Amino acid sequence: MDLLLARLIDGFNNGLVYGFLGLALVIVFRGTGQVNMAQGEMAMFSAFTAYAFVAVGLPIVVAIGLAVLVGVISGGLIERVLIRPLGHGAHNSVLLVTIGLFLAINSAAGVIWGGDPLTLPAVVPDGPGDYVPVFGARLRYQQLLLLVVLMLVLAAIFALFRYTKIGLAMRAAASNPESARLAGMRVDRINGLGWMMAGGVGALLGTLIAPSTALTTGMMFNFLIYAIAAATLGGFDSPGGAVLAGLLIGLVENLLASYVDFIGPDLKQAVALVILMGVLMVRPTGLFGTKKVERV
Amino acid sequence: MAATFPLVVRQGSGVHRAITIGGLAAVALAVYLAPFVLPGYRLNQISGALVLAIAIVGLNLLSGFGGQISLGHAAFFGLGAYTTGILTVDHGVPVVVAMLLSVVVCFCAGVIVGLPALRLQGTYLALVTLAVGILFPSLVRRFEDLTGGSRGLFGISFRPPENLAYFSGALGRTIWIFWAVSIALALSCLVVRNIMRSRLGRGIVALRDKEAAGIVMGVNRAFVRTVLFGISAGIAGVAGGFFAVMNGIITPESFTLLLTINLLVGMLIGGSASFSGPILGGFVIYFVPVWSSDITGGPISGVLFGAILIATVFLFPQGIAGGLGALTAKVLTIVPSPPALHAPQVEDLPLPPSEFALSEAESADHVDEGDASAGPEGTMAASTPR
Repeated sequence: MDLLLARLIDGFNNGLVYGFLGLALVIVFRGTGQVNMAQGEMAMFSAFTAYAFVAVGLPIVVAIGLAVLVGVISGGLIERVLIRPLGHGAHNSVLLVTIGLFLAINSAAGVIWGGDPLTLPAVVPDGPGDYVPVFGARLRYQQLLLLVVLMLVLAAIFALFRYTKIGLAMRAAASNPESARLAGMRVDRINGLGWMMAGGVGALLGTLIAPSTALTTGMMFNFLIYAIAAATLGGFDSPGGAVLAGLLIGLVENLLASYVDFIGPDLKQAVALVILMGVLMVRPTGLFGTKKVERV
Repeated sequence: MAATFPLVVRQGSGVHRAITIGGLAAVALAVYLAPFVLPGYRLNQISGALVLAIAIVGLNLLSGFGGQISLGHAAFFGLGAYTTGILTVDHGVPVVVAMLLSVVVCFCAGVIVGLPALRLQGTYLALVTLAVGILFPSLVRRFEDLTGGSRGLFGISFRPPENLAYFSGALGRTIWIFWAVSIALALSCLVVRNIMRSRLGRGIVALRDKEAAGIVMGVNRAFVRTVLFGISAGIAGVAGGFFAVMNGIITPESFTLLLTINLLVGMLIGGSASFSGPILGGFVIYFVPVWSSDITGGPISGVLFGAILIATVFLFPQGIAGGLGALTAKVLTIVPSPPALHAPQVEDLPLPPSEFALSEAESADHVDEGDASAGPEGTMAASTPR
C-alpha cells in the first residue's frame, strides 16, 4: 500500500513536469500552429541563467524571477526575429527553425557552462527530512511547490483567456487568424505574446525542477518528448487538457512500469507513446482538442 | 551568333536529351574515377554520406513530395540495419538477400505506421511518427536476445566477390562498398523519379497540395498514403542495411531522434521535393559536422550546425537544389517544365517555334518575365494566360 502510494506520488510528480512543459508547448502551438521543439532547451537555458544569477550572489528567488524575465524576453525575441519573418503557413520552416534552435541552444549551454552537472539551490528546503507524510508515503516540499506553482500558472492562464480582452484576442487569433486580422487584431503581436508567455512558463519549470534533476544540458530532453505526448493527448489547443494528460501519462506509465514485468524500465517511455497512439486512433484531435472542420 | 540567356531548351528535344545524358555521364564518370583519385578514408566518408543520401531520398518521397513530415525515420533506418544485421550474422543469409528482405520488412512496417495517416493529419501524424522513432531504440534494448541490446550487434560484413581483381587489395572492401552504395542510391533515385512520374506520384502530390480536392478527383487516399509510407520506409531500410555493413556494428544509440533530425535537416537544406536535393543534403549532414568539429572542436560545432540550419531556412527556403536551380535558370531554361510539383501543366500551351531560337523581341520578353517570376518554370508560365 505504501509502495503503491509512493509510486503514485512519483508518477504524479513526473506528470506535473510533463504537463507543465506541455502547457508551454500548447501556448506556442495555439498561435504558431507548430510544436516548438526548442521549448525544453529554452527552459534548460533559463535554469542555467538562474544558476548564473545565483553565482553572482543573488538569492535564489530573485534569480528565478530574473531567469523568468530572461525567458519571457528571449521567447519574444525568438518569435520576432526567427519565427515571424517566416510568415504564416510556413509550418515546415518553423519546425526546422525550432530544431535548429534546439541544437544551437543545447550546444551553447554546453559551451558556456560546460558538460558537468551543476546544482541549483532549491527554493524550499530539500533535505532528506523535508517532506509531508501522506499515509506513510513522502510528498517532498519540492514536489508540493511544483504542484502549487503549476496550479497558479494554470489558473492565471485560464483567467487570462477567459476574462481579459487580450485573452479573447489570443483565442480568436488561434481559432481563425485571418478573421481575427480582418477584425483588427494584430495577430503577429498576439503570437509574440504567446511565445513570451511560453518562455516564462518554461523558465519557471526549468528553475523549479533543476534542483531535483541536476542542472545539465540534457535535463529537458526526455521531458520534452513526454510533454509533446501530453500536449498531443490533451489536444493541442487545450492548456488544461495538456496538464491533465501530462498527469495521466505520468501516473499510468509509472504504475505500468512498476507492476507489469514485461514492460519494466526499458519500455517505460514506450508505454506513454503507445497510449498516445491508441488515443489518437480513437480521437484524432486528442482528448480535449476541438475538431477542425475543413472547408473545400 | 551572340547567345541570349537564358537559353531555352524544349523538354524531350535532342538538345535536352544530350544535356541530360551528358549530366548523367558526368556523374557516372565522377563515381568511376573517385576510387582512383581519393584516399581510402575520404572514399569511406563519401560512402557514409551516400548512405545518408539514400535515407533522405526515401524521406523526401514522404515528406518532400508527400508533404508528410516524419519524425520517426530513424526507426525505419534502424529496422533495416537490424534486419540486415540479424539475418547475415545469425542466419548466414547473403548480404544482398538480407538487404532485399530488409526492404520488405521496412515496407510492411511503413505501411503499418502509415495506417494512422488515414485518420490523423499534420502535426498529430508527425507526432505518431515521433512516437515510433522514440520507441525503436527502447524496443531494441528490450529484446536483447535478438538484437544484442545496448552492447550492439557485431560482425556484420559485406565482402566483395573474390574473383574480381578490381576489389582485391587493401582498399578493396572500401571500393566495393562505395560502388554498392552508389548503385543503391542510383536505384533509389530511379524508383522515386518513376513513382513521381506515375499516377501514384500525381496522387501523392494532389493529396499534399489539397487533400479534399484530390479525393474528389478520385485519388484513393488510403492506398496512396499507406503505400507512400511503405516505399519511403523501404528506401530508408536499404540505407540502414548499408549503414550496418559499413560500420560492422550497430547499437541502438545510432538510431535515435537525432538521426531523424539530421535526415530532415539534410532533406530541407538539400532541397525538399527535388530530385538532386536529397543527395546534396546527404553530403551536407555528413560533412558539415565533420568540418565544423575539425575547425572548432567541442560543443561549439553544435551551435554552428544549428545556426547553419536556421540560416538555410532564411537564405535558401528551397534548399541548395532550389538555389542552384534558380542560378541555372539564368543560363538555361527547359520548357515545358516536368509535370507534377507545383508547376502548372504546360504541355498543352504553345511552345516556342524552335528549340533555341525565339525571335529577338520575343526572347527579350521572355527573359524579363522569366526573371520576374524567378524560377525554372517561370518563363513559359508567366508569359501565357492560364
